[in-house]
Amino acid sequence: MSAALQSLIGSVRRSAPDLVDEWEATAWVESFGWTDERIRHAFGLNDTRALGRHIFELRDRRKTMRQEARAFVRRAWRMPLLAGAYSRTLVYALPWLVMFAIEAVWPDAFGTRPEMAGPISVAVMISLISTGGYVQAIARKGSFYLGMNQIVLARHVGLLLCRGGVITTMILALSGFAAGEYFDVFGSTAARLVATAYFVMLSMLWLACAMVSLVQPRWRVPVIYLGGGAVFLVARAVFHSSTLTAHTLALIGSVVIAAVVTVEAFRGSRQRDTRTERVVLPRTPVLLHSLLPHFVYGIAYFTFLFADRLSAGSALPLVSGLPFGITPDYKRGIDLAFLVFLLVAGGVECCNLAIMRAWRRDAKTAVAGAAVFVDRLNHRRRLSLAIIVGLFVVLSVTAAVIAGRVSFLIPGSSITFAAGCFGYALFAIGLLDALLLFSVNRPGEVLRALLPALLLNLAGGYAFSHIAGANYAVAGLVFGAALFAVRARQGVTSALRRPDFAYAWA
Amino acid sequence: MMAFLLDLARVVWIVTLIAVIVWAPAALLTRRWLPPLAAILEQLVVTLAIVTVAISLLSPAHLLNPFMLGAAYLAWPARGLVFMHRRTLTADAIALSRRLTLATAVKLERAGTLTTTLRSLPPAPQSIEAQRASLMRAMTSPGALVVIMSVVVLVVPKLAATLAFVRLATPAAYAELLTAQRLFVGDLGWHRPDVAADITTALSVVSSISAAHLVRLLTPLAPAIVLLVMAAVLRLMTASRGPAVAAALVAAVIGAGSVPTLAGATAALLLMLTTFFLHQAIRRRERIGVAATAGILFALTAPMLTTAGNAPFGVALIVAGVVWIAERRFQFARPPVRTASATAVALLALAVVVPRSASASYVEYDAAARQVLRIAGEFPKFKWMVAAPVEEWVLSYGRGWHLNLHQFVEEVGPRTNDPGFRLPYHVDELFVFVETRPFATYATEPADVPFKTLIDPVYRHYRSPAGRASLQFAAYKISEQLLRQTPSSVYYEDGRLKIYRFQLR
Repeated sequence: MSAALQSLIGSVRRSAPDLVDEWEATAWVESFGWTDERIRHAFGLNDTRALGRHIFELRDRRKTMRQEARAFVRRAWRMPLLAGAYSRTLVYALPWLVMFAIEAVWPDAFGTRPEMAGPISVAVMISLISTGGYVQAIARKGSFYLGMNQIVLARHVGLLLCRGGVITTMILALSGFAAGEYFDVFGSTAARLVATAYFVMLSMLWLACAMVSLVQPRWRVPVIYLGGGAVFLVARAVFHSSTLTAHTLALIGSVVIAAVVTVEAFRGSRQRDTRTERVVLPRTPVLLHSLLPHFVYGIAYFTFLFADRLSAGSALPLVSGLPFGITPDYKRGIDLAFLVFLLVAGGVECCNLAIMRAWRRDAKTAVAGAAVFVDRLNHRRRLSLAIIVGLFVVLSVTAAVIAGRVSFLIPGSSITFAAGCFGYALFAIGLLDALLLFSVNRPGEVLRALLPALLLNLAGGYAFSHIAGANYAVAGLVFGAALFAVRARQGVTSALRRPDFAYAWA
Repeated sequence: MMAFLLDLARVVWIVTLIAVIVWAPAALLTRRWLPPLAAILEQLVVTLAIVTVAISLLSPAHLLNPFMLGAAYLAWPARGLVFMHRRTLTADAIALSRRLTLATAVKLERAGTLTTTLRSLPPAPQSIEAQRASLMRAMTSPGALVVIMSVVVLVVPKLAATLAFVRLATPAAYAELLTAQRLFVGDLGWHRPDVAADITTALSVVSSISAAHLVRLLTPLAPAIVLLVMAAVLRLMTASRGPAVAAALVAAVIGAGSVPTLAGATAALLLMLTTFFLHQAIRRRERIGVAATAGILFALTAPMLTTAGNAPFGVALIVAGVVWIAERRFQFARPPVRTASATAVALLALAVVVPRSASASYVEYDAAARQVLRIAGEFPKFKWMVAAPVEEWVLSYGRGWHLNLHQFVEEVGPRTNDPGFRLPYHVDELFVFVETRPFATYATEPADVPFKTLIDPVYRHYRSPAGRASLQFAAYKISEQLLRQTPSSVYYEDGRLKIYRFQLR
């Protein structure tokens, strides 16, 4: 390569480090005074376009990408928004982490009567599943109106959805209790009453938390959990109550605190709302139509997370005498894997946020349909996936080491933990793609990925746990998560193929 | 009285469930309140086949529960829907659900309250009213009335002997119950399908009535179903009411005092269905698959066809054949049917008035069976054990542990005098069933008993009056001694049966 050509390429690169296509390179070449005639004479190429193409193809892609990646990570960490996004998920991981710590120090802290442990576990899982749709809908619409500084409207729509959630909860509680009585679920009326009461209270708690988490600052949700935890500890340590009594008191305390905090969070919203002159609620059908995919996603998401536990819990051998119960080795393994997932899920949120911000920034400065634009998007996505996988590996190894030292993981639970980590890692990979699809307003694609995966998780987990043994329920999680990751990737690939269109659509 | 009413409610619930399970898909597929008889019979065969296949597959895989059974039941019509709308089904379902959701939202938004919304719904179409009237006409026709009366005559005496009594009528019924219990629990493994036990298990899952009650109540109800199917099949095959009415009448009058078995009644039912659908397949080239299915199911149950309880149906079919030949020979039609109907009603009324009792061969006191079920309902699963005759093993199967009373006597008897003796069982509660007046299995003891029977422990300890009495006496002595040594109490006593409760933990 001649010195003149190298000098010209250097000039072009300095002037335009992010070349969009060969035409831009050609334009830069021409702007430096090079004509077709001069190029033919000096470099033996046909015209300026051929030289432009040559320069564009010669650019050091790997170097550019590495620089870009560094810049992406640097920018990402600077963003205070990412911290907020991570803290939103961390809020749910923290109580889990605290419970592990307490169990390690005080093994019997959460031990309750076996015939009551099953109903309470089911109540927790079903309450999260049944309110999952409302929680998603509240978050979606609430963020939308809060983003427009319409706090009053956010509160009204949130309360409307909460009312729907409460009605649904009551209907489910009554019908569930009736069905339980009919099929003699959980073996006794007392157990069924406890399960129903827990279900109702927990549902209220999740709905209140969804409302509270909309409003800044975000200290209110931890306050609710801390309050509940404090009541539990006082009841257990000071009053020596049974675990069930302490649990119940803590739950009642949490619900009361959540109600108070919700009122506090939206107090003075009229003064803070600078845009809403008159509250006009959106029409119910319009609201339903816009929120339905998010609602279904919320339900499916939580069902997916708990499907393996529900399968494993229902596969107890008959001679145990218990209607529902998760064996300790399975529970320990999968709980630890779930904790790792919760910690990584915050990272997934952050990656999605960073990708979308970079996308928006690029769209302002570059041509959205250009090849380089697609390359950048794909590269950022791959980088995010690598970060997620890396984070999962690091956290799961750390968790395994710590759990091994305190003898938390026994041989049976280690296998479950490893399989659970693998399944949740696949799910986290799919989750990133799902969040990207949500960000470009393609919730339908997410459901197309999640619903078959959920079906596979449920059917596979149920069949494996009942035929091969309760511990094999985790197979459903692995297969379902793999399918979710594959289908979500297909959706994202299709969306990123035309990023300009996806951006305009979003 | 309470037990009687509870049993009555169980019977109503079982009959309703059977009717709905068979009728609903037929009504949906034919879009008629009163589906044609052939469609109902076809649905009966399909349901029996689904139940047999589903239970045979789900039970060994430990996947038997109401949801899985419901899914298996609904899979058949769903398969039809998918086949018909292979490509558009998902899109149609999404569009329909979206339309329904939005329409409901709009309705609620405009109407305001649920009452006004309900008022705004369109009235029932005329065709439904017409079909309802047609159903009433069919049910009140003379022929139908005779068949209904026959069913009443056949069922009432048997049910009267069963309602409010928990024990089963025959040892065969205990065997049927054991199979159903093992299917329910999933202990039977991969096995040759037992259609009667599969039906019992499926009904137990769906109705939430324990298999013990189901076997007891289904046994007298089964002949009624056979009678109804027989009348329907004869009506359709001969295209005449005479043979059906005559057969129903004969089966009712002769069969009122017989003791049926579930397996026998199922075999008779499947024979009727196979005959009908084979006739349809050969004559009209219709429903060949249904005929084959019924044939396979019948082949599975055929060995039970010759049970004593089926004899009245055999006689009834012969009479039906005679009536049909006579009809064709003498060319009479409606008037003799009406006369026969009037006579039948009179005879049936007489049959109802005359008290009848099913000649059962009980093997235990009713209190023993009742108390086992009470213990099973009162105490947590598998935290208790009963030391009792073998029948209690069947009743407690899948809910608690059982120890044969003679084993209890052999294991514990020699050691009760040991100082510091503790009962060696890993359960919370042990219940020992002792008959203070030993139950007499035979009214008169058989004079000649084969050696093979004599060496059977069940005969020696429970059926032979002397064996039973000596076993009960030994058990009584041990229990009374343990009563003083172990934390215990008397759980039940009625002068004939005494149940000791030993708290082991």
